[in-house]
Amino acid sequence: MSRNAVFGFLGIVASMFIVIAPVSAHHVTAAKFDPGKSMTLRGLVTKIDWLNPHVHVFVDVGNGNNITSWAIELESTVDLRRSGWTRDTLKIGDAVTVQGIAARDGSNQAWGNSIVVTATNRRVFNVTPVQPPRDRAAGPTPRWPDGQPRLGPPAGQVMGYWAFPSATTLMQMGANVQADEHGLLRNLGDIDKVAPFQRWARDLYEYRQRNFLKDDPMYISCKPQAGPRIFQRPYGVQFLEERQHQRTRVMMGAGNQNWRFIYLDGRPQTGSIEGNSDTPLYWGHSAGKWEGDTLVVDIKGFNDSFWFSNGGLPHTTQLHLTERYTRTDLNTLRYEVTIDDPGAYTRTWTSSWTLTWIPNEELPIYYCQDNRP
Amino acid sequence: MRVKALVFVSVLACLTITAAVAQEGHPVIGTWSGEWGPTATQRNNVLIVMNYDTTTISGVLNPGYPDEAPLKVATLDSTKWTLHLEADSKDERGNPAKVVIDGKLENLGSPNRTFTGTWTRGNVKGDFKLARE
Repeated sequence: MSRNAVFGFLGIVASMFIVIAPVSAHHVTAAKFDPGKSMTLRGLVTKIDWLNPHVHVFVDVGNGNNITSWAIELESTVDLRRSGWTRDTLKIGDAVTVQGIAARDGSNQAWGNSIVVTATNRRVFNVTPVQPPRDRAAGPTPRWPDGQPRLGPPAGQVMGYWAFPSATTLMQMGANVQADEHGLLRNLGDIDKVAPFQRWARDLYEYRQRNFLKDDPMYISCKPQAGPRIFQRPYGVQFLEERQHQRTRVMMGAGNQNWRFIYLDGRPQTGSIEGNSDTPLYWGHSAGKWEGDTLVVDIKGFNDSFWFSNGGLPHTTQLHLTERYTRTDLNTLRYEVTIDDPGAYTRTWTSSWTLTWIPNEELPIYYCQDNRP
Repeated sequence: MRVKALVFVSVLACLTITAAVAQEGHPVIGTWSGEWGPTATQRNNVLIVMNYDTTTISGVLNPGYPDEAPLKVATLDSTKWTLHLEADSKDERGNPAKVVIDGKLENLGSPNRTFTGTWTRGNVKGDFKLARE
């Protein structure tokens, strides 16, 4: 086969792949919509897509023969449901007034900040930020009969998970940097405070920030949110301590409800980036052991096909994490992670935050689905 | 039989490409394919495979072909996302010819990011466009 024939064949295969590649599924609001472009639309509801990651309401705007269809994007079904809304809140044919911000690409899409039903003057689909439960009982760290702290429910309870991370952006301890819930920095001048970057990693991080994280593979194609990121996402994590198997399963409340194992049986860390039976792609191989009341987990074998933080901090396949989980009382889990990646950072660095116990609840049902780009 | 073989190779290629497409680490890592040439009609297919360790970019120009050559110089300026490459390669007649490549990485966030610029082989200068597979 000639070289040109080989290149031609590769070209065809690459084209095939591009065609079958997944379309955009989810995004940071500012990546798709321009906060500086406010707009008001009045029209009739024609369709409602009650789907994650974003609900969409379709509205026909105009009159006579001059009608334009708009897609109004809203938060996830989880967030809307928590705020008391359902797919039946709006009806097809309802007249509504939408206030929102326009899509950056000029298409007929808008992020809906407010939807008001004309007939009732009622505002619908507004989201009330969820707060940690206030009526939780305080208490000491729950323990197993052998005295080891429990990362899951106290004895006699079967449900509960961890959520409401005290920080949603991974950055080195002591960094005084403001960022939003997606990891977007308030001030790009703070970039060098976030982590001890190698130059290329610093500039790639800046590139991602300047582009409002629009290329995040978690949003583009529902890739896993592996590494410490799973502890900074909004829908929480759950620990299933399978002591009879000497392992703990860490369930993730967002993405595709993936899980990873922390092996506590002393098996060798294979650390294969291609993945194998106990080193699934994206999650690395987690070997854990208890040091007093802290579960210390060593993780190697990550691939570089995902973002390991909100905000787009780069990493390489040399990423090596040391996690420390300490349940300081019934309602508080302290998570600390040390990042060692000589391919992207000039030294190891550490970050830490806490999560709050949500008793008597399962993780919210949420899957990253193929929604509208 | 040939059809089966072609299907097998296609599936294998798709799996390989899937793995490559998903790379989010150092932006130069991966297989880059495209063409270069001194004119719009005189084009040559080219392939560059690059990697990065903790400090250094390494790679091979046209691996598996008679003009295969390791990259002797590979310098990234990430403030502008420009990349300078040099290799001791060969021309069409098999004579030694130094290749000097200067280009810019664009669309960094895409798995199919591009690398475009000027390509000099011996005394012949042209332009090139590569895309990461």
